[in-house]
Amino acid sequence: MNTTFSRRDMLRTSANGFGYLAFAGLSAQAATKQPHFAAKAKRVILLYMQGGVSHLDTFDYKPKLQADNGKDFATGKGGKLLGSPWKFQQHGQSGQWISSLFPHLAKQADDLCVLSAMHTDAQAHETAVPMFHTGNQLQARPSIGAWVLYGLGAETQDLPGFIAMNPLNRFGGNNQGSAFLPASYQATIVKAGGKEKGDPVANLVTAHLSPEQQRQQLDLLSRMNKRRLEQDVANSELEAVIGSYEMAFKMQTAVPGLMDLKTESEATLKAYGIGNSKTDDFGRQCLFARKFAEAGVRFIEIGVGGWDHHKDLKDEMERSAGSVDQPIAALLNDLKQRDMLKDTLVVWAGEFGRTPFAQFDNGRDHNNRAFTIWMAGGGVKAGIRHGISDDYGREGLEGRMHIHDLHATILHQLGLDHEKLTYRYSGRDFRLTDVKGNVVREILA
Amino acid sequence: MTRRVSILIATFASLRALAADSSSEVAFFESRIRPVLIDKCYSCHSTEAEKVKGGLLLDTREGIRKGGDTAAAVVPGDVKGSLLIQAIHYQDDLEMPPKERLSPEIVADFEKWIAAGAADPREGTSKTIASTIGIEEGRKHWAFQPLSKPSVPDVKDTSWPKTDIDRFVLAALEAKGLRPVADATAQELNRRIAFDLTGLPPEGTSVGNLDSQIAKLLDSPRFGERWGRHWLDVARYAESSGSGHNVLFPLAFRYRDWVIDSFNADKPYDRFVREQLAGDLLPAKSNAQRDEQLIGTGFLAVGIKDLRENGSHRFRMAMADEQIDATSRAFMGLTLACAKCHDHKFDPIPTRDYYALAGIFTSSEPMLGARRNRQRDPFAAGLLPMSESPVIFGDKDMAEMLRERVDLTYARLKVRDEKWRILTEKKMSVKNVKPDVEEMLMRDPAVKALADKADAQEKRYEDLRERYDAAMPHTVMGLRDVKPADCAVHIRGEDTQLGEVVPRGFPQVLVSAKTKPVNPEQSGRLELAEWIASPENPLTTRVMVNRIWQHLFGVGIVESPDDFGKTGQPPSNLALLDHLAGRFIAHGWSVKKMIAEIMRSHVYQLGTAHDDKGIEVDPANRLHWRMNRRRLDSDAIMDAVRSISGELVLERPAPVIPATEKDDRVKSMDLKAWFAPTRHHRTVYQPILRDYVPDEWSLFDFPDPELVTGRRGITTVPTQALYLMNSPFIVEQSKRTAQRLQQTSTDSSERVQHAYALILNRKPSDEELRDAAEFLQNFASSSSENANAVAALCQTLFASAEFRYLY
Repeated sequence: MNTTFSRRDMLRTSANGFGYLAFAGLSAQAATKQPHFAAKAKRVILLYMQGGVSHLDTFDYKPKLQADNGKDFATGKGGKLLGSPWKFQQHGQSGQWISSLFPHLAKQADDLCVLSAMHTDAQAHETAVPMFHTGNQLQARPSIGAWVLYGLGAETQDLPGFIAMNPLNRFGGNNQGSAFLPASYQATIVKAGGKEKGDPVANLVTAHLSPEQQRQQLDLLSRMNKRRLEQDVANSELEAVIGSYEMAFKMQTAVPGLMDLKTESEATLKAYGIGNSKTDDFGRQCLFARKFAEAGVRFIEIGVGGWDHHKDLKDEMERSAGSVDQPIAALLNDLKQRDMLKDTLVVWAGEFGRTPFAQFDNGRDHNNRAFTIWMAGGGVKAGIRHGISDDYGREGLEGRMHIHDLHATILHQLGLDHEKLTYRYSGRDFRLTDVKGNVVREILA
Repeated sequence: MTRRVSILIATFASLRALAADSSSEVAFFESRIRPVLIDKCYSCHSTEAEKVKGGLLLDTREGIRKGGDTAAAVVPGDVKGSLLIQAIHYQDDLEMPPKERLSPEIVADFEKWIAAGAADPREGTSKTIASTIGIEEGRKHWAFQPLSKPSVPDVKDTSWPKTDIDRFVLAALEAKGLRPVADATAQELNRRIAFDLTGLPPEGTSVGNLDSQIAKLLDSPRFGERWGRHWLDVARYAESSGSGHNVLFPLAFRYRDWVIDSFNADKPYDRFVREQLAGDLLPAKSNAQRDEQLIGTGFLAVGIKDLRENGSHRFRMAMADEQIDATSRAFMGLTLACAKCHDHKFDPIPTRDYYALAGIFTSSEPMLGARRNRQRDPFAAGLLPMSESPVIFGDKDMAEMLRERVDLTYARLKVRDEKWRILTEKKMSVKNVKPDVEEMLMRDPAVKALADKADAQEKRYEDLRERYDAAMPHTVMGLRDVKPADCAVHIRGEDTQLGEVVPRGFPQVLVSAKTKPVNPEQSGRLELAEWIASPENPLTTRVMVNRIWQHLFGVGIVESPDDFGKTGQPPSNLALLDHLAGRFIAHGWSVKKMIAEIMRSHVYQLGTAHDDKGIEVDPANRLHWRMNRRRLDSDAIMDAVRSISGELVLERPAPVIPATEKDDRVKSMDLKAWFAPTRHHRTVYQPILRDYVPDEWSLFDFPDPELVTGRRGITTVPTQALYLMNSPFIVEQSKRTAQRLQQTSTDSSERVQHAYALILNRKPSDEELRDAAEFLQNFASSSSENANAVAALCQTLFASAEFRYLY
């Protein structure tokens, strides 16, 4: 009798964990894995604002900064205080303070869990961006998306479990990478269309053959591989190759279908700001994020750059905020209407914040000691603010939350214990949070 | 339970201390402080803690006053100077207890307690926490034991073994009641040997005489390119610095070529090791030899670096750490870098040993020949001249050039500021300045004076830069010694918390009476090299023969080629490993002889057939009852496809050393132009820039060049399938292959046979011939051009699982 291992059997019975599977040549991603405990969120959508958003002009209202505009910054270092050029107002029942830069999002103030005393180790983009994504400034480490996929596996067999749009390859190559985790956990890069040309997924489109010809070719290939499999009796590697063609074939159908905006109503496109040159790019990303979330993708990262406002704060902030405000509001609305916000954790963040004092008269420098991000859905408290920064927003005072704490908390919502989610590499067990990180329970619903 | 007991004991002890502390203060301690310490701190900071954190014990008076790694936790009377207070205030990144902050009332209690003198009745000595692993105990680990000289075992089936290697393998199989499967076919062996030795497909479909075939391929320059690439994985070779700022390393290629040439010349491995660690310190008979050895030290220079802080202590320590990691893993399969912050958890490597090595590396300076924008400090930026360099660009020149460049930036900024001042005065925009306005500005005497100054500054810089660029082609990327100095222990790896200074030296667990101590006049790299490349070192030969074995069988005798420590995998056949290591030394550390000896063994020539008993007893085939099926790596796939299509250029490409740019960062380079000249060459000669590894290489698991990689991952993902189905590269190469086939024959069936021979290196079966003929006919009838059909057939063969695997 033959001892034949099928791909699924191997996945089910393997006690050696995913590292073994990677070497066995299997597409490890396909397996769904049990979380450590009951999860509040099934998936994450990360809205990444590269450059470092000024918290002082968006979500962290500082009346004293406005009042002391033009005065010397207290410690003498840095220069003159720069009050925000935008008006702040309280919104919703929760009374969240949000500036006039985010009129659409302000309507969803009661969904936001605003974290106002974030801090990070790194002060430059090149280190702070990897710090945010991988928990490490310098060495190549797996990104949070790869860790999540490693911990939970994929929810769908037709699409990759970790998708990134508009990736940040100029700030270290590893922000969406898998580093020492098996390569199948890295993000698949998908292009959002619009001004971005090319196939949504690399090599997705067959340009050199007609569909009929490609069918003939794949049939021939399948016969070749099967003949080989018959000779080999048991060959899990070969089964994996055959499986990879099956999934590739599914992706060829599933991805263009998902990326087809014709299936969306005019009203939806308009709500996301698609077609409007200001919001088209991020609008597309947000709508695709929703579609991927619906299709079962585990971790979705979308983003825009350009938040590095060292100068021309007034004009540039309006442009940056204007390009994302409406699309993000539409995304939150859409998720809510589809009853998906409850198990989708949306995280809006950049790598650090900005200084209360001016740079080049009308800009702000990097500030890694206090900045603001927000989360929504996925079992975090809605309509709250956690953490307080000082009167000028330079330092966190209460409820300070480090990137490691953020990572621990995100994993927690997904049912993963950040201390238990480890991978043995080079003689030690690695974690996303290294040896740090605390789940911030105050913000959990 | 245990806690209650200890409280009881402590209470008795406290009675004796009453004399020292006034009773009310002790009472305060007992009621307000001790319960908090027990409840919130002892789980990590008492002798009963499972793992004591930060070396800090809070369960005795002595412990709390002595403090841990950092400083005294409590200084009686000094609230501000007590680290414990800072910690519970969550100040300065020190946040204790980590899980939840103490209430303000409790914090106030602690302040009050310390202000009043920190009365503490808890007697007893806090124990120093012993090293995790004892050295003597650690020596017992198999890999730290001297090489054994195993006698060749007897086997039952004396007809099967061809060599002693086979006897070691067969003895282990027989002990488990297993038998080797049938031999590989001649066609399989032909393909296997060609790919294993050269990374390229064989030239014909028949192997002929095996020994002469092996000898011929070992002599081919393609051998060094293949085995050099294996080593470059281990050497985390790349041509840029990585780490955010990512500057080009324009001279790194010399090290790459040196590695390839070393394998082709069959440089004895011990010399190969010595030159990489201390080539600059070795005696040389000629200038050529001196230069060659110098290039070898590129191994220590090509690692990832954050050049933004190249003048800092942090940079030097990070560099030493990277070098320790690469050196220990590449040559000895040891993860020494784990001991940077604490004694190694699993291996007998105390933190002291790490800093003994660190001193050796911090006593050396890499000369990178790479500069970042606005760099001020010349450390690591310098040029190492080759022996007969017509232009010398020395340290002084380097420092001057960097200074002139920074000054130039400021000089230009001054011009701009003055222009802006004038424009602002005139209420004009500083943006989009029109040519006539620019002219007006340049006529301003103040602007002109500043501009002239800047021009003069630029001239000074440009003169230096020209000399620098002229010197570049005669320089090497490598290491040199600087003033030697021992290194202090950095407590928990922190740059600011220095402990004792440790004399330069080697890990104690591997040191014997014969080990030569470090030369006080030098960095110590020479002695390090000699110690590693000595036959007495139990790791070096074992690690290298294991790497060779792994490349020929897919898996090493030790599965974790870069980790021979306790966390690594134990050898599947230690006697075989030691036998190979002994043969390696007997062969004069010749890699080629070692490879040939293994290839001539019967076990290497086995087929990949299935065997029920084998699967049942040894499913992972650790004992080699058959040959493993091995997937071609990214380099072999790319090179093979180009070679089959006829596109591959085999010559080594001429080096390109670009002139210095204003911005030498990879992200501002024209990458398309940078990759273009070598795109038809073997992948080993194509540029490898950190963060810019070609997507199709990563797709087939090319390793991240930041990390030492002795064994590449093997994944099978749908994006690979998409690549083979649709990528312009594969489509183009399939077309070229089809054209090649059409030139050789007009007969359809002959073409199919030829395609199988070229791509899968075998003859097709009758069934396969029929299947292909049918495909060509149907495909042709659905398309206008016959060429498309043949190309589609070739592409299908490239996409097949068989092409991707060695059988």
